[in-house]
Amino acid sequence: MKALIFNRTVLITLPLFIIAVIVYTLITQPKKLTPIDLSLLKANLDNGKKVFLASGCNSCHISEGSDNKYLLTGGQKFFTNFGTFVAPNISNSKEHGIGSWNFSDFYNSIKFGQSPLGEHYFPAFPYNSYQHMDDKDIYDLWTYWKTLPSDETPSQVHDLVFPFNIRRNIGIWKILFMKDKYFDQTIDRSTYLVEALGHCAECHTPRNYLGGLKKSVWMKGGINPSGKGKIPSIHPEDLKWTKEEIMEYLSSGFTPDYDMVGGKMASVVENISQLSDLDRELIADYLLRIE
Amino acid sequence: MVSLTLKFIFMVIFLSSTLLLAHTGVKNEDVMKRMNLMKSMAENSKILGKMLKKKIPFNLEQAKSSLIEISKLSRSTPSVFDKMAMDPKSESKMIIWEEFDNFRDLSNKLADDTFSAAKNLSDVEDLKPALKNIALGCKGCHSRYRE
Repeated sequence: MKALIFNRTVLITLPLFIIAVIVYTLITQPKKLTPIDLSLLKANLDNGKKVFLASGCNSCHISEGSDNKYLLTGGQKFFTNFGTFVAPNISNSKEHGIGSWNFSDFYNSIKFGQSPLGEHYFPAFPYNSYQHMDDKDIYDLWTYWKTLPSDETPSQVHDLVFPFNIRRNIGIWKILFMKDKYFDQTIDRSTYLVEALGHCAECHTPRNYLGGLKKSVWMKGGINPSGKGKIPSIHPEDLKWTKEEIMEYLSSGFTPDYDMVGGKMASVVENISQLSDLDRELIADYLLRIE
Repeated sequence: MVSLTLKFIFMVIFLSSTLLLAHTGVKNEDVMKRMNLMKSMAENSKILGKMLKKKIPFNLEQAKSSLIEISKLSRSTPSVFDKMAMDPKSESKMIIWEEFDNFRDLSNKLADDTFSAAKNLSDVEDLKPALKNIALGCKGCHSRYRE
């Protein structure tokens, strides 16, 4: 009798288990990517530098406390509920960085959060924002990137808790939170600067228990992953700064009370201060119109 | 009657100190000293910023006095950070005390730069580079030593 019940249980659960494995495998499967056609693109180094600054790659990828803003050694730690992420070396080192990549590898990492080996990147890399980056901007950024120095410091391994340490599971995260909503930056450059390049929401918007952005409290502040305290709200209801004050902050780092920007945001301001006045004005426009 | 007056005085002292602490929520006195020093720096920078943006009229004496005040406060900064005091509300990073010599050098550089700006200040046009230098000096410290 016991054997009969066991056999019956196996007969029912085994196919269900197999189906579950197949479904999991299919939905977490990284995308099959096609090589990018470069024939129509003409690189613009100046624009590449602007994209680099606006995207703030160096704010997370220079080593902790480094004065060289273009040496993307990695090593900064980000403490989260899922464990500690360590920014990797993304300098031009062929062995430890991304020096051996081609443009398609770079493009796919930014657009789809996928490595050249076909693995998902953890979304601590803000590809959920960068996916909206214009193709031409990615190409210019790549061209500029190739002029940056290399560093031979090996990347450190992330220290994450199970099951968040399994890259395959990020496939589910992408289905839940990564929306392929592309828009043309020529229509709304304010949104493009803040949401795609600046990826401001990645720090300034609270996250749910799976690490997805809570869109209902857009830019209302979040937990500080690089230390204690909170990332402040930049929602106009809370910030209450004028357009001129926001532009001043993004240019000099001075708040309306003449306090000075600090921590990670100092690097963000240093980058944005090198953009045009118009770009800072467009960023301010976006921040003032958040509902 | 004397006892009632004393009670009233104590009550006023108690309420004022509570209000003072409640203002920032900082309990540690050393941290409070640091914060007050930074606040004074910001207040003086604000005067210069307002003059530069023509929100208040340019006044050479007042501008010089603000620059000298910032210079003095910068010079005093290492002394208020000398003690490794922490508070839940503090935004200072521990690295300050690991790199105290560098922290002191940065503070002294800002003190020297603002003193020299005060000496050379003659009109409102000189305020722009002066304030830019203050911003650079403050940022140099804040980016590395503040959360």
